[in-house]
Amino acid sequence: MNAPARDPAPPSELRQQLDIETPEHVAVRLELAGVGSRAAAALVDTMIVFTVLVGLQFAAGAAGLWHVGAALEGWVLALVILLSFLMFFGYFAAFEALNGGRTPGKQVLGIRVVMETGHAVTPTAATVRNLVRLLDCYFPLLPLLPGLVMIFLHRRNQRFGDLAAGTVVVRDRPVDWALGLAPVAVEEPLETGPPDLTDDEFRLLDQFLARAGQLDPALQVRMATELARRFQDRIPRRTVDADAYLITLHAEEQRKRRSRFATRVQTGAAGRTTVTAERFVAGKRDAWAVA
Amino acid sequence: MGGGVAPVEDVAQLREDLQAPIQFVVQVQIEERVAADLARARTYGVERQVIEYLERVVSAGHNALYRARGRRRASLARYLVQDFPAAVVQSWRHVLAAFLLFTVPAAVGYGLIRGRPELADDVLPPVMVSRAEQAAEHEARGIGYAQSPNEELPVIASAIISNNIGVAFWAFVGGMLAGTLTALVLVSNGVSLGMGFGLFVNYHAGAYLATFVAGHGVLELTAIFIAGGAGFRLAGALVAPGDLARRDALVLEGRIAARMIGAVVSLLALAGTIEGLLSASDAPAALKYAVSAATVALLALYLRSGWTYLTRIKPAPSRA
Repeated sequence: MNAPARDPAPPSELRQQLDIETPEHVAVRLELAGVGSRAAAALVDTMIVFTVLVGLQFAAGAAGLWHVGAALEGWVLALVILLSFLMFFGYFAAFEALNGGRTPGKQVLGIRVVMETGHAVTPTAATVRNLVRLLDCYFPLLPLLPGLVMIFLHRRNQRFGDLAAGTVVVRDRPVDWALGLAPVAVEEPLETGPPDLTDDEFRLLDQFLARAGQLDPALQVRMATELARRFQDRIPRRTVDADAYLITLHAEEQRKRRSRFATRVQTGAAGRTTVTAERFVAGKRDAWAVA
Repeated sequence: MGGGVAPVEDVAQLREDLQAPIQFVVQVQIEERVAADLARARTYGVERQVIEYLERVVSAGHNALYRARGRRRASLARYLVQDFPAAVVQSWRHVLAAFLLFTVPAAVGYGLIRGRPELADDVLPPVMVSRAEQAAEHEARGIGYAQSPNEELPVIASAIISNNIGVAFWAFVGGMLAGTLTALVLVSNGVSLGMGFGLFVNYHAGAYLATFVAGHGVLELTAIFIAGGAGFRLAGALVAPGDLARRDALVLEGRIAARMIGAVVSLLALAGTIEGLLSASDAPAALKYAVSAATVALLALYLRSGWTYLTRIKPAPSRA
């Protein structure tokens, strides 16, 4: 029998991940934001900028209505032009640099800009990626197209601005911060000594019992007999019935493997918490809370 | 070497600095432990929630410990007068390339219009031609080029600043297209400047235009060259990344280019102010030329400040 792969292939994911290896050689996994959420965030931001620009125009108009005098009116208009310009170019860079890589639009959509290394975005990088926004989003004749195409095609969803600045846009995952604090009750297994079967044998037995019902009866009997014969040298057989023997053996073995003597790693089915994992989490909870 | 021991300005700060290494070691230990736990948790197939929680803890620690911490946060003023010009000096080759890509087409455009004046009607905007036609007449009456009533001056100034910054930004961003767009912006602006001058000289009004341009022109053109140079830095990273991977080279060059853009914006803001408030006003030509000379001196000081800063932080600055 082939030894099963240590790491079962994960189910194919639609989410795009970015693995960043820390100096401790542990990968931190970030989830990349896709075209959709980034476009939506850009839409929200653009609407905000647009609203402010329109507001500024009204302010300029109001200055004209109040007859503040031609000289002052000129200064107001000049201020409006400069502010509009600042808004247009500064809005994204300022928010991303000062608000942890999040413009209001990104905040609504739950995404943020980080450096490729996983660090918080630097002011320089925020400036560069938003200067290049000119190319990504305001390219003459083809506005928005370069940025959208780049995000769509690039492996890390980087537009030109992201490439120049070395940034990626990732999804903010809600994290249960209380996890580190609340201890959960883990049933205390009985002390039953070390397991008698090897990992491979136990897995074979486990799989056989799980599929016994679906097998051809003749085949099932033959396999049960064969397995029982294989184990009975080490573990005394108290019944004649091979099936009953195997079931008791399996239950006992499972109990033993829950005890603290079982240090070997079991590869659990994907998504299911294994006994080892439970014990591991229970033991470590306090340490993580401190961190 | 510069450096040495900085004078102790703040005792509390010093104490904090001395405490920092101890805290740091503790943080590193915690970080290493939790990172190891994360790796183990993945192997054991712990629930997703727990892994995500650990990932958050590890990445937060990673952020805190390994972030770029080259130096203390400098004040904005220091960026303005040291970092920005230093980046410009450091990139003098790129800026020179941009300068040539602007001035050579400008000279060609000038020569073309001077040699064949009839070309002007086809290639130059009619507004400009009519302005040149009226120039001699205006000069006689003592009105300047683009001279405007005083109330409108601030508006003109801010509009011009915005426009120039737009041009400069495009020259920079064009670097992302391997510099093609940068070259295009530089050449087209150079040609139109050269042709414009040729046109006015044809109408015997060269000095007249020069008076208008003198006050702000030096700063404005320098800013455009620097922006072009910044664009060429990006382009250089893409076309000839050297020993680095293209993506890494781009990020490194982008950092320097961003500082150059800082210089561009500060120069253009100053140029636009002069342009709107002085160049378009009826101030005497002598004053305008004096301001022009002052901007040259200012520019020299600015770059010098960058040069000294550069030589202080890096003994061999020529290898940009």
